[in-house]
Parts: sequence; structure tokens; C-alpha cells
Amino acid sequence: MAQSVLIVDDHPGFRARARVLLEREGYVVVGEAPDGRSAISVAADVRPDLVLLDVILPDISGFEVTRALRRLDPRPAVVLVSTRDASDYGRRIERSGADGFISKGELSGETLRAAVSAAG
Amino acid sequence: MSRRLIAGVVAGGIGAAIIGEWGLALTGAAPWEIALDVVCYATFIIGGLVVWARQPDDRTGRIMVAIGYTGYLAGMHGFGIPWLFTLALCFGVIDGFLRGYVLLAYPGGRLTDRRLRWYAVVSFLAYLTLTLFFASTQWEGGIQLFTISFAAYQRILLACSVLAVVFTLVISVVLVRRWFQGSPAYRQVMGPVLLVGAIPGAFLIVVMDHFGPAVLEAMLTGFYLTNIFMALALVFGMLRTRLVGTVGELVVDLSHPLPPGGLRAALARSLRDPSLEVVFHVPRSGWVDGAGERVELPAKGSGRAVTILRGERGPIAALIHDAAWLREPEVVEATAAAARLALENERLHAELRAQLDEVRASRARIVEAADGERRRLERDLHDGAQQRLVSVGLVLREAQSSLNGADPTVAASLEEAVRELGGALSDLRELARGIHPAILSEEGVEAAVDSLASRSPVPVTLALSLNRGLSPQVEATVYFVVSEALTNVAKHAHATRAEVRMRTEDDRIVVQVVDDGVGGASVAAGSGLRGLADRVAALDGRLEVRGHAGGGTRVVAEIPCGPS
Repeated sequence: MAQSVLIVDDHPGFRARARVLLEREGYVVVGEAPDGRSAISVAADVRPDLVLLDVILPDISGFEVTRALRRLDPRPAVVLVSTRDASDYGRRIERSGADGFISKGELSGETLRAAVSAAG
Repeated sequence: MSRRLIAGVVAGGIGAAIIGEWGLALTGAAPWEIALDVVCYATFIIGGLVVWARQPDDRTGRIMVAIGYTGYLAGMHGFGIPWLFTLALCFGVIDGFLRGYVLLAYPGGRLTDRRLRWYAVVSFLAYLTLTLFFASTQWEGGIQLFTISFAAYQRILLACSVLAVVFTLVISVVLVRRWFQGSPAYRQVMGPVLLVGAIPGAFLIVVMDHFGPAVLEAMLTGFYLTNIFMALALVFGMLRTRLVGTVGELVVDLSHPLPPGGLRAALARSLRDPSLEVVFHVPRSGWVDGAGERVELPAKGSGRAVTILRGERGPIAALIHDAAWLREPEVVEATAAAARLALENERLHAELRAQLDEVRASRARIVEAADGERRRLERDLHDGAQQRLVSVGLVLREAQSSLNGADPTVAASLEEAVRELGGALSDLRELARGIHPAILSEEGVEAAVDSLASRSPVPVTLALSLNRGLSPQVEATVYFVVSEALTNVAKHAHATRAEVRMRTEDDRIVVQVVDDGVGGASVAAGSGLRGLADRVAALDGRLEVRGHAGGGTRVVAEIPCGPS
């Protein structure tokens, strides 16, 4: 069964491109959110299998959103994305409880699957 | 004071003495009492003249002369002439009041406290009115205007005594309070007056004025002796500051090289005012202290006085001293003038320090502003160019996916474009990180240094022990020092390993980056390190690069970061 995905990013252009790319890879995009708070609310409604979450959001950071999502439901995989490199965030990615990190420029079905499966 | 005036005052005093003592003799006073009366008021007149001549601006001398005159003329009550009797009693009242007043207003002869001035005037007028009244009854020898019962007459006398006792108590309280609150300079002037028992003396003086004729001879003698001592003490106290405030001592002090703060100490010694402060006038900054810190001159009424030493181009320095010295501004001025050269010298030092402080503050502001600008640039790159390139990358991936191997040439071109774009994004990330690492403002310097170490091609061990928060400027400076040093290690040192040590010590943070490479680096050699040395210096710290060829390199930065 195809995995459902929620895309969270404040740039509409990135959301649109990511939607096309992921749908082409067989994912079902069930929702989009432009900031952290609406991401938490949409996730509660649509219960996605995977959340593609930008680290820098206009209201709260992707790390905080990850923690909130984990409290809501531990099941969905959370993959953080950013134009920055993972090393730019030190240990925050690990501490947030996210399943993986992908640099936005490297986003593809392949890297996404690798990130999720690496987390086990 | 002219000789004619002195001669006039002396002649008037002799005249008053003859008339007063003649009257006193007619009351049947003993010769010793008359002799004491003569000596007592003569002391006031002569002492008053000395003070008047030496301190013309101080009213103490004139008041003392007035005490002498009124004291003598109070003796006229003995002539048995009713109007003269009343007049003599008035002189007696004025004499007693002036003796209290001179103590209250000492030194200076002016009551500066408004409430005290009102109290003195009201109690004087009340006492004078009551005296005029009882002197005009049938029980006294003045002009007979009123007839009252003996009991009423006694009650008036009692009221006069109460007024006198309260006045005396007020004087005592005021003098004791001033002594405890007063500065050393004030105590020096006031000391002799209190020493000879001004307070019990004043008590005796006023009370005895009233009961004088009825008390024992011993008390009468005490009254005169206390008065004589008081007059002498007033004169001695007034002249004492002149005797001790010697400019000569200062000149000797200044002939030796002075340690830091030595000029202030020498001036304080010379003026006998340990609380003395010296401030300097610096163009643009205004008044500054010896350390170049801006200060305000004390306001009027603060108990501190200011003497300004002026040069050709405006004020040079100001002495903030005890207001007691205002009586003798010329002594302070002479002291300041004697120290002129030393003060000019200290002023230049203070000006230099003020300028240095200003330069230091402005450098720190520049660093702060530059950091803010760097943060903004990094953010702009992140939100702008980087996002657009990411979008381009995703579009290319879409195209790759759509092509699905249909045209190998186009597929190869697309693959090349994706790879190049990935390289460009990576370069841009590196550039953004170099401008201002996001992790520094979001996670702090330890996480940022940890991130630097993890990216370094040469293995880096960390020994970080910071026991307090650091300001954003210090954190950024520490980060850039470590970043530049590790970049140098990777590029030039040919090292196999490096170590970053960071610890807070007292009021500073010490950062060391050590490697086992070829050495030979120096601050002067690399523009990166040179710029960082300036940045560290802007925060009052210092950067050193130690090491010799073949022996590795040690970059050490020490930056003040406030007390723990």
C-alpha cells in the first residue's frame, strides 16, 4: 500500500515540487502545511505515514514540531529537510526524535526511503 | 580692612568698655568681676578684628566685634536711668543671641539652613519682646509702662528662661550633629570651638544672662572664662585651615614622580580633605575621572564644592572638595595652581584613556553591527538563492524522471546539471556557514565548535569546559578563531591531529587550538589570523600564535567575558 505523506514547508514552490516528485515515486500526498502549528493540526486530522518537515519554519522550528508530532502519535516517520547541511544543526536532529535528515537539494524517493529505513 | 577702620573699631570698643564698666561698677560689682568683664569682651573685639582682617568675606569677625560692643553696653543698666536701663537689657539680649548665633553659623557667619534661620529670628524676637515687657513693669528699673502682679512677672522670667534653654539645646544638638556628619575639613575648623566646651559654655552663657546677678561668684567666673575661651577658639579655628593647608607641602610632594592616583592623594593631603576628587575636562567628552570615565560635577547644595582650574583654552581640571573650603577659595585655587603642570599632565592621560575607551567601544559596536549583518546575509542566502537552487534541482529531477531513459544524451546532460547544481549548493552552504553559522546562534558556541570538529578533515579532539553563558559577540569571536585555526591546520599544517581546548578562567575565556603539524604560522603571516587578532582585540582580548618550524602550532585567544 502506498505511503501517505504530509509536506511541511513555508515555501509554496518547494511544496509543489516535492508533491510532484513524491507522487511520481508512488507516495500519496495527503496534506500540506506552511508552518509548524498548522502542521500539527493537519497531522492530527490526516494521520500520515510520513511527514516531510522543513527545519526552519516561520513560527516554531521543525525540531519542536517533531516533538509535538511524537506526542500526538509515535507511528509516522518524520524526515527533516533543510537547505542547510545536517552538520549545521549539530545534535539537535538526533535529540528531536526525527527519523532522518535530507538536504533539500538531495530530495528524491530514493533518499527518502533510505532515510526512513535507516531509522528502522 | 583699613587701618582707620581698625582704629575706629578699637576706639569704639574702648568707649563702650568705659561706659559699660562704669555702669557695672555702679551696681556694686566687685573689681575682679569688672576686670573679667573687660577682658572677656575685649577678647571678642580683638579676636573679631583678627578674623575680620584675615577673612573679610566671613561675617564671624564682625559678629564677634558686635558681641564685644553689646556685651560692654549691657553694663549701662547700672546708671539707674530708666530708658538707659531698658536699652542696656536689649543689648544684653542681643549679646546673648549673637553668641549663640555665631556658633550656629560658624564658620561663615551665615545661617544657610532656612528652618534654623527662621527659628533663630523668631526666638530672638520673642525673647526681646518679653524682655522689653518685663523691663517696663514696676518690678524692674526701666520706663514704667505696665503694672503686673509679682507672680505674673515671675512667669515672664520663666518664659524667658525656657526660650533661652531651648535655644541653647538647639545649638548643642546642631553642633553635635554637624560634628558627626561633618567632613574632616569641617571638624578641623570646628574642633577648637567644641574642644573648649562650646556646648556647656553656650548653656552657661545664655542661662546666666538671665540669672547672672543671682548666682554664685564661681559660676560667674565660669561664665566669663567660658566666654573668653570661646572667643579664642573661634579665632583659632578660623585661622587653623590657613596654618595647615600649606601649598609648600604639595610642591614638595609634586617634586617626586607620582604613582597612579598619586596626584589626587597629594592634593587631598594638602587640603586635609580625604574625600577630595580630581576630575579633568576633555574636549567632546566633558568631565572625566582619572580612568577616563565620564562624571558629573556635584550639584549645588550637595555639600560638595567645585574649584575649576582654567587654562587658556578653557577648563583643565576641577577639584571636588569639601564645601567648608568655600570660605577660603584662594587656598584651593593656590593649591590647584601649584599642581597645574601635574594636573595638565593627568588631564592628557585622562583624555587619552577617554579616547581609548571611545575607540574600544566603537570597535565593539562595529563588531556587533558586522555580526548582525552577517546573520542577516546568511538568512537571506538561506531564504533566497539556496531555496531557488533547491527548486531548480527538484525541477531537474522531475525532468530526469519524465525522460525515463528516452534520450541518453539529454539524460547525461541532466545528470551533469544535477551534479553541478549539487556542487553549487554545497559551495553556497559553505559560504553561508562562513558568513555566520546558524548553529552558533541557535545552539551556542560548544555545539558550533563540535560541528566544526566533525567537518574537519584532520581528526580533532575537544576539551570544552565553559561554566557560564557568553555574549553573542564573544561566542562568535571564539567560533571564528577556532574555525580559522582549524582551516589553517587542514590547509597548511600537514598535521595528523589537532585539539581544541576551551575553558573559562576568572573573568575570561581561554581558547587554544593545538596541532602536531609543521608549525611556522604567525599572526602577521596570514591575513585571516590578522583580522581575527583585530576582532579579539576589539573585545579587549588578545590572540597569539606560538610555535616554531617542525614543532606544531598553538593558537591562543584570551577574551574577557565578564565575571563568573
